[in-house]
Parts: sequence; structure tokens; C-alpha cells
Amino acid sequence: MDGHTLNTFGAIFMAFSWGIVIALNIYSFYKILYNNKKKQED
Amino acid sequence: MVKREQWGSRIGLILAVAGNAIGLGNFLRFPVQAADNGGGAFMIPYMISLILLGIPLLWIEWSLGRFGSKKGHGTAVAVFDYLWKNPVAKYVGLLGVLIPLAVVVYYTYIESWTLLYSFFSLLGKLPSTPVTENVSDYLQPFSQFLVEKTGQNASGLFLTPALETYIFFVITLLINLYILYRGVSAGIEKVAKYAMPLIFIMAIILMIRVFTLSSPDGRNFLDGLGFLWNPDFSALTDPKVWLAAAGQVFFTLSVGFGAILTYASYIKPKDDIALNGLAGASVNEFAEVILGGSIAIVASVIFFGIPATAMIASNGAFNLGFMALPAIFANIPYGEFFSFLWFLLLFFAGVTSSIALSQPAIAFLEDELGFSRQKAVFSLGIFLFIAAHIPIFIKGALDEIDFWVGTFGLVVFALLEAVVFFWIYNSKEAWKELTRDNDIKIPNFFYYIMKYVAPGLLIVILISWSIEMLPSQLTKTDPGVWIGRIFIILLTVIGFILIKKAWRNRNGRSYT
Repeated sequence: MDGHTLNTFGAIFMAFSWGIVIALNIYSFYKILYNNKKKQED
Repeated sequence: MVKREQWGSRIGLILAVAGNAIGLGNFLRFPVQAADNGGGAFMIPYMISLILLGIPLLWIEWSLGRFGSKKGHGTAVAVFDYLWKNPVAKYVGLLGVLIPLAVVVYYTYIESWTLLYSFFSLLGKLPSTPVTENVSDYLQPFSQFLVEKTGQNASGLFLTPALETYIFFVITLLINLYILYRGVSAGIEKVAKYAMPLIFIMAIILMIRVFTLSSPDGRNFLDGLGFLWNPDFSALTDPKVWLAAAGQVFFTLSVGFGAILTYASYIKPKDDIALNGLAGASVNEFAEVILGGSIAIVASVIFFGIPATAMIASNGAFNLGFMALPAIFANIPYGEFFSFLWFLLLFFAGVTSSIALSQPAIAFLEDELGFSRQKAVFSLGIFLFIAAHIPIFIKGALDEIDFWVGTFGLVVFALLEAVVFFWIYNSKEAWKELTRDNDIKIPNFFYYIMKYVAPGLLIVILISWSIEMLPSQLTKTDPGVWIGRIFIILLTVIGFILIKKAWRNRNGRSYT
């Protein structure tokens, strides 16, 4: 088998990159919803 | 002044902007670049480039667009004229119309291949051969299929694409024009609201299928992910890796086209740009880092192994998408359906980008020449139909136009945007314009990044690309290459004449 399975460093880099991207999405869309709600209340 | 169109909703705008950025590059270029440039370690320069180059340039382009919205203009032609009170400014700003327009001439054609492949997958008409030991032999029918459909096997100056390729191009062009004809809110925004969720659903289905694949000799998705993510820290000392990361961030966010500027010009003059820009970039990064990194290259490693995947990838990201993936799907259960999904995903990603690239030309015709939307779309349609015959039928023209406009031109225009806004206009005023009326505060250190770091990095990219690519590019003298060059020159001359006419007729605004 010419494999090259995901190692610990690879998993850390992947988890970190995915984490940043997911956090960025959650932050921006949470802010948008929060601002929309605030504007509706005003 | 004619009332300009506006976006119907904020989410529609964000999806349209993300749709502009999400294209074939997210699913094909990113995984190849990452695997070639240090694997997981590539993400260090990638994330740094995102902060120092991608996001700042994105916010600059959004801000220029919102500035245009205030003045009732949607292209860099008028925006540069307002900011840089010099008669030459509007001609420099023409790059923000010409670049996306020239790109869309060949992009629509490539986009039509994805529709053709999708349709042929559904009919079971893509090649289907048993797996052979030698990967090159196995990929041969798939390579042959692409060559036959695009007519690249012809000798001489002219390509001889198949009739169905031409028909699918016409269908793709008509789909694009219909969306543009419907307008910003009823056309572009509506399509984005349907296409974007569909892109994500299709990508997740494909990702799940790829993660459940395994090879007879025991390879599974962990090998694919290992190929992409296991870091090679020595790559970090190589300047080429840092340039590749900066280039990837630049391309993926679609900055330097002028399309974001035009999209942003349809917001209200006091709307947010900082959070909208960040949200659009976040959606794009999700499609790239998570979905794009988990389909094509992972499937290729599982099916072909690492040396063969490296060989396929070294021949270009295109080979991965149009040869390796259909070859994999040809040998898995329900492969025709997954092949259909894969190419439909690429088609949707392509359409949301090509309509964005067409919009600056529409905005130019409407805002500066006073055309109605119908007249603008009709004129654009005629132009695109005629101009597309160059990349469709002339050998070497597509690559030449892509080099000057789709690679070099983007960096030049992005640099000009930063320089005109932060150096020629007034950096304090530019910062004030950029940071007003936003839903989130742009940190102050971005002022220095936008004024010094981002333009500096663009100059470094430009110099290194010039040293690396220009000598070989300039020595090309094939007739097809010259036709591509003449096309770009002709387009520029027509653009200059139209600007002159617009300003003379006072449809456009004089800087005085």
C-alpha cells in the first residue's frame, strides 16, 4: 500500500484550519442576525 | 439621474458575493496548491495572507463600491474619476470593467464544459473503462474525451470542438444573459439564493461519498487527508510557498476583478461593508478549506495513490476535475449520479461567478452610457457571443487572454485600487470612508496593512511573477497567441472610445 495516512500534525493543522473557518462563519452570521434583531427592535 | 437597482436582502447580497468568489478554483486549485506547497504547513502562509492581503483588499473593494453607490456609479471608471481628480483616472479605472469582461469571454466557455459533462454523466455517455494498472493508460479515454469535445486534437491554428460543445456554450451563455436580464435583485440575487445552498448540499453529498470510499489495497480518506494536510515544515522556508499562498488567497476571494466593487455599488450608501465583506469571505473559505479540500484530491489519493495523484495534480488542477474525477466515478456504484452532481456543482459555482464578472460591463453601459438594462444585456450578449469564438476556435488564445487578464491584470488592478484609494485620494479620508456605518469595527491596524503591507505584497507578487513568467510568455509568437493579444488591445481601444463618448455626452461625470 502506498499510503500516507493523516498523522497527528496533519490532524492538528486540519482541525485548526477548519476551526478558524467555522468560527469565522459563526461569528459573522451571528453578528448579522444580532444586528438585524437590534435594528428591528429600534 | 436614473434610479439604480438595489439588493433585496442582506443575505441575498452575501450569497451573491460568496457566489462570485466560489468557483472552480475552490474545488480544484486550492487542494492542488496546498498539496504541492507543504500540505498543512501551507495553511500558515495562507491564513497570514488572508489577514494581510485578502481581507484588506476585499474591504477596499467593498468600500470603493459603497462610495460609488453614494454617487450613483457602479464601476471603477467613475469611482477612480471621483477619487483621483485627473483626466487619466477614468481610463485607468477601465481595468475594472475590461478584466472581468475579458475573463467572462472564456470563463463562460469553460463553464459550459461542466454543463456538458453533467448532462453526459446523467446519460451515461462519459467514458467507462475497467481499471488498469497504469494510471496514464486508465486516464487516456477521459483525456481523449476532453480533447475531442474541445477540438484540441486539430492541427493548425483552428480548434475543432464538437457540435454539442458549441450548443452547450450557447445554452450556458443564454442562461447567463437571462439571469442578467432579470436584474440585480430578481436575477442575480434570486439565483444566488438557490444556487449557493445547492452547491453546499451537493458538495457535502460528494464529501460523504468520498469519505466512504476505499481502495482494494486498503487506502481510505485518511490517506487523502494525510496527503493534503500532513505538514512539511521545510516548505515554510521557501519563498515560492508564501507566494503560492498569497496567490491562492488573492484568486479565491476574487479581488482585483472589479466585480465586488460593482456588487457593493448596489447597497444603500449607508449600509455596512465590513461585516458583509467578512461574511462573504467566510462562506467562500468554508467552500474552499473544508469542502474543496475534501473531495477531488482525497478521492484521487484513495483511487490512484499518492504518486499518481501527484502526477495528475502536476499537470494542472483541471486534469483533476475533468479527467481524474470522472475516471473515479466511472468505477464506483451509482458513479454516473455522483459524476452528474460533481459537474453540476462546478456549473453552479461557475454561473454564480460568470454573472458577477458580467455585471461591471452592464453597470458601465447603464451608469455611464445611459443604456437601459435590456439594451445593456443585449449589447453584452452580442459581444460575448462574437468574442467567445476566439477562445472556442483559436488555438492558444484562451491561455494568452487568461495570462494577461485573469492572472496579471488582477494583481495590477488590485494594486491600483489600493494605491488610488490610500495614496492618491487621501489615506485618512479613505480610512474614514471605509470605517463609517459598519456593523463591526475594523481594527485600526488594518489602516497600516491597507496603506503599506497589502500594496507592498502585491508589488512583490507582481515582480516575482514578472521574473518567473514574463520571459517565456513574451517569447510566444504563435498566431493564436497574437490573436489573443490583439483581442485585449482592441477591447481596450473600444473601452477608451466609449469612455470618451460617455464623458462628452455628460452621461458620465466630469471630474471638474
